[in-house]
Amino acid sequence: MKVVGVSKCPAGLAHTPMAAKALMKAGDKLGWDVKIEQQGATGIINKVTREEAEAADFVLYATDQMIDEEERFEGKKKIRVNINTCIKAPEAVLKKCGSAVEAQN
Amino acid sequence: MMEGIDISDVFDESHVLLDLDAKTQDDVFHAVAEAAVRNGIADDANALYEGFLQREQEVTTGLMDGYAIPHTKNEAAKRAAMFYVRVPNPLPWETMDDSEVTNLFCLIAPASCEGNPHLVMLSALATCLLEDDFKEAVAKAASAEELVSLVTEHIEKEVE
Repeated sequence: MKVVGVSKCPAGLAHTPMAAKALMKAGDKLGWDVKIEQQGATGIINKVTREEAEAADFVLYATDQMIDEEERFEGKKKIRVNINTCIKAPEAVLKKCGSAVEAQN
Repeated sequence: MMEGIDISDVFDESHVLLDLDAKTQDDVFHAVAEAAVRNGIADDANALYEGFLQREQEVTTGLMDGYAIPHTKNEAAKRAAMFYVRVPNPLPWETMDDSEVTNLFCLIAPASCEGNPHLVMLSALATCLLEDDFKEAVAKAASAEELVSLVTEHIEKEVE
């Protein structure tokens, strides 16, 4: 599976990088290609390009907030997950999203 | 190690509060806010306290394994800093695994922080808390000195 996504939390200090790293580590473990952009206190880190988004099976929003530059993901399948859930159980989040996307295809 | 980044800018032994006598979240937020003012990080302890509280009310900062990471982006903060707090009596807190909280890293950032290199260190500390070995070592560290060297070592690894 190829996944891109965005993490974002109220202050952008702690949970944004934690969720991004947790999801990317879980991706490595599953042998998936996972890239999560951080929209945090210092701006955008690890930015996902339109081309990367195009190639992804789905887009994961690890946030309950509005995403910046969302037009990149137009037409893509998007799944929104609570950021704390992404930190607590990143592998389960990826697997569950992956199965949901497969089931729809 | 990133150029121009020195962890002692944001964390040193005076930022370690071991055996803090706290019974509630409130007690911790007050103690950290006052320590930050004593250390010249902020000029208004009450504003910092309110900042921690407000962020906590939005969504809990409780993690797993007895850790929490309260934080505030605050007008009263003159610079970025972090504090480590350990309480002898576990605190009631909403956490991801329903554990009570005994170890806290409290992060303080100035309100305008676009491009602030010190925030990289705060973020790196947050991601360190995904590592079980880091959490175990921190919980066991016996002195402020040991904590500073542990945290420094792990943050340096993280920002490489």
